[in-house]
Amino acid sequence: MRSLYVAASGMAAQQTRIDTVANNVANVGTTGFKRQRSAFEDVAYQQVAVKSRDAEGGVAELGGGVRVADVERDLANGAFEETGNPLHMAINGPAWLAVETPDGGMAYTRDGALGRSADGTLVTATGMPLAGGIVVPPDATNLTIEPDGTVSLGRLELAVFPNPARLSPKGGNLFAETPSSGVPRIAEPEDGVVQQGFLERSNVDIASELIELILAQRAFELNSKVVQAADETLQTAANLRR
Amino acid sequence: MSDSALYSGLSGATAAWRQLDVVSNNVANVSTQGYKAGRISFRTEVEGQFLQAQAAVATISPVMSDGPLEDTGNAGHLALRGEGWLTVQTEDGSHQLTRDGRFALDNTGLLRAPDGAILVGEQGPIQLAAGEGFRVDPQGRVFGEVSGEAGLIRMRKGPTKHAGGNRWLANGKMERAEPTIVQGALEGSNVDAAMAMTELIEASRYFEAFQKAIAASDEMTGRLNQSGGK
Repeated sequence: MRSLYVAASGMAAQQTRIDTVANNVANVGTTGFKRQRSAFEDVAYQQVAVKSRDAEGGVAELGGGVRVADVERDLANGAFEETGNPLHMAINGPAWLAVETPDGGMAYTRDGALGRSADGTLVTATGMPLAGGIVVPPDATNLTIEPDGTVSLGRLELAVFPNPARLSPKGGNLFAETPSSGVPRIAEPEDGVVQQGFLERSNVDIASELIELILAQRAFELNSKVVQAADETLQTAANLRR
Repeated sequence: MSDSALYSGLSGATAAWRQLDVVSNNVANVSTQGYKAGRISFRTEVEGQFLQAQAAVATISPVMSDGPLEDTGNAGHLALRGEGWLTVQTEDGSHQLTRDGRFALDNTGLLRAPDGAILVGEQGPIQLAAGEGFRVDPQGRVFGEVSGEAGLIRMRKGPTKHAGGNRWLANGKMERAEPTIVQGALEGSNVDAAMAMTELIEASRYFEAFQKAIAASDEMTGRLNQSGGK
């Protein structure tokens, strides 16, 4: 009977893997998107007595299946695409652009598609003002963003996290600090070079996602075969008494 | 005599069930990082004058072959080639063994597994500086870009038992192991799908055969009872 539950846990794990792939593929065109990969772990082992005439042995361990350990984020840089728009920027390095959220908190993003709000404040694509509050006068004709993030009228706040893979996604390409991501520090010049006129594309690679999908599907199928075999065996057992 | 056949059949059927349990756990963990497939071994025990044979599960032991390497490019990912385990220290201070090499540098410069366990070296936890880049050489020595050499990763081999969560516990005397470490890669599960399916078929067929033996023995006893009654 155990094998039925174990196989079910295997199918559930593969389903999560397929869901992760689906989200990656859906975000293949999202600026600054970082792909995710699912990680698994085996679960509690039960000790069972085995028949043995030897002094040693006598106990064997039976596994209880699998579960999703976590869904990790792959932080590799995406490809840089030249847009020529002076308000577009891409960060070459691990730094994140700091953004002020409406509730007064901070969020971080790799999406450098900036814009100007009605009063000239630099905002993200979703309208959140950048930390530091850089206001571009309406009559400004050319805006330059230096590689270290210095804008003619201020400086973009770039943050570096000890463990950025543990930032928590907030939607809208924004991420928030968590205890496991660690406290951010202000980026040094070697942490990232800001490239004006470029956007960082999603780091999802369709070919590897498709391979991941095939693997997940096959693994799912293998687990379903186990269900089938366990079911047939149960049936055989039920037929013992005719 | 029939009794003996009945119990031989039963012990065989139980062993086939166990095999099914082991195969199902292997298949469920076909994508689990660092998983080692379980393999069941049987032993036939024969006793007495009238040949009472019993198939019994002797052991369930892990197959220690390497799983496939998956290149991830993440500096915190470590894969082992060859026999041996990485050592991590859990929050209660105890040591556990693992082949799941997913680590990340935390804000105190320690390399932590996703559940918070710390990667341990020969001289205690591997201590780097927060936020620095680091390199792990094939022998397991860790070098921080800023802090320099941070120690040799503790690797052991020997008898183990499962702890769940991709972890193992030492189950006897451990000795120093020298597997090769590959940084920027993860070791996949070493479950072989074709082998698992073969074992699955084998288990079902064994079970069926033992069921036949039980049924035949039952029938014989039935006939014996009938003839005795006349």
